[in-house]
Amino acid sequence: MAAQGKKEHLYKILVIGDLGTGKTSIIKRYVHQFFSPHYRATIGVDFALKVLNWDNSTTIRLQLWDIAGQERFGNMTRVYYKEAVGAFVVFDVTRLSTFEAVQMWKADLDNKVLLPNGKAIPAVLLANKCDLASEGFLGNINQLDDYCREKGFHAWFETSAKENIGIEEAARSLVAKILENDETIDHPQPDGDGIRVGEEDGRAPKKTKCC
Amino acid sequence: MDPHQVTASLDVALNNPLSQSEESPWNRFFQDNDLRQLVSQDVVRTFPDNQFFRQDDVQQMMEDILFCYVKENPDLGYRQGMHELLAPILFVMNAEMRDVERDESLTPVLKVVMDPSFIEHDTYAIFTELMEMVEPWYSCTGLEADQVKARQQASLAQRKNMSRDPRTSRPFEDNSEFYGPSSAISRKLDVVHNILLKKADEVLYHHLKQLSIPAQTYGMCVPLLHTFPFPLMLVSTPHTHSRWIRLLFGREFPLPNVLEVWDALFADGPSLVDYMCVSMLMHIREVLIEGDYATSMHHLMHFPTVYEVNYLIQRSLHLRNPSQHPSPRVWAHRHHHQQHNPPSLPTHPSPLSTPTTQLQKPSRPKQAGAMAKQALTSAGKQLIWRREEEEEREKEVRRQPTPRPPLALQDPSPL
Repeated sequence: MAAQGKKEHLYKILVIGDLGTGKTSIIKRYVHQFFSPHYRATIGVDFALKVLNWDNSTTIRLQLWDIAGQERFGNMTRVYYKEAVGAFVVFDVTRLSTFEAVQMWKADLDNKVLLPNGKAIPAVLLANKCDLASEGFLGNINQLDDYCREKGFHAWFETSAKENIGIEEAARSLVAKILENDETIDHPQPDGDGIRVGEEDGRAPKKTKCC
Repeated sequence: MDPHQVTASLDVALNNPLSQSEESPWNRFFQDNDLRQLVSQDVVRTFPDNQFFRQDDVQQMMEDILFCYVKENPDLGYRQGMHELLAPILFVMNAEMRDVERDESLTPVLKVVMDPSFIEHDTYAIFTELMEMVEPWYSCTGLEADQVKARQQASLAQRKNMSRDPRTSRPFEDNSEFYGPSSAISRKLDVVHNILLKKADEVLYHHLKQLSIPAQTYGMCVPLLHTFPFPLMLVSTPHTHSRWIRLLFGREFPLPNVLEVWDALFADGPSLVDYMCVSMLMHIREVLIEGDYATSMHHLMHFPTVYEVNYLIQRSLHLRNPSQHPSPRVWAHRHHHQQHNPPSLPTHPSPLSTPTTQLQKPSRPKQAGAMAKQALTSAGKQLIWRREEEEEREKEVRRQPTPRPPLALQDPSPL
């Protein structure tokens, strides 16, 4: 199946965010195309592998590291974050406290892992459980554009693991950014700005309609 | 205490909902609510496939027990995983007490001891005992802040010079960066790895050792070296976050087998945990040695089904004290032939030859062990069947695409 000379990449991607925001569900949906309302709480860390046929000449293996929500308070995240080249930070649109925790997760991430060029690893923000958004606290979710720019997120997406919304797109956006980093990493751009929100490939879809 | 109920006799500066004071009953009230919410979030996710844990009163009981435990142990706080240590205890207590409820042959004393109206109380008592044993693996008393900072900077400098090919990524490598080269933990780790493992499986030990030497051989197998000591490392560290240890193998086996393992651990003592880890690692040694990084990680995170968990227990006992505990026969067989056999998943040792568990008789019935022990086996046997059915069902669901009801076929709801 694999053509000769096909390029293969292996990327470690973190999935972080507060307890019960749906990290495991997102991974299960993405990797197994499957949703169950009944997952156990992740303890420590879990691990899944997703193989992407990116294009005719590129295969990408994603190691998805599912970090338990409570780990932010422990001191193992450094070990878990090691060598990661991208991250999803997940919050639950129905619980404000999980959104407030986003910046703490992002700070934890930036403190503990960097790209070889010293830049922060690209992070994509996921507003999960958007199928329940009517119960949500985010009146004007589009303000997230500004939020992402300010906090250094590459992009943001509304997602629903239950209804399969936004996850593929978010992953494509993050992988595209990682690939781009991969190509430029040995030749750092003079402007040196590794994180730009609102690039064409990374722009969040305006107003994803959810059920 | 619900401050709504308190009469207005108290100091208003303190007794009002906006007070941030630690002394304020309202402040405590809100904190307690937060804690309950946190606990409840895990409780509702406990053993999702098991109907017992889907019952509201059971979930309430778990929440109350954990809440009280955390209030009694504020320094530790609530840590994810406690709920899954509590669950098997509650399950067994319930099975046991309900079982004897109708037993007319019980002596009056036993009738009192086994009174089902005290399931919650007794479960709490046993859970507290168990937590005493595992607490060091939950507490997160960390390094001194300046140590952390120094290490942070060192690792930053190191990272800048690092190859970023993830195939050579070694997430668990170099624990010294994390724990400090001279920490007691890493010394102990050294002992565990270089003495305990070497003694247990010299082939594997040398294999791993050899891999670690020349940097250019860092390839597919290298992460193995570093994932391998990972669970071992966690055995002996207060920073433990490993699921294996924290849940006392609660996720690695189906519930009935977990009960069997717990029987052994409680009858024997905490030191068996270390050896159980080694025994489990050796059980999947072929996969670890042969597999690539993802395969190894997968097997460490999702331990393959073991049909004869007693075999692993026997082996861990043997590893610790070979003269007292003979090597289980299946293991001896595998051990002699392993170099000639093609790598295969050793997930199914023949069930016929392992002797029944011969634990040191709990002459000093330890902690939860004695009480829980009796009911375990019978409850366990029942569960095996249940579990298999459930797995079958789950597979069935997975095979099908997302079960979206065909909308057109549904009757529009009259309301």
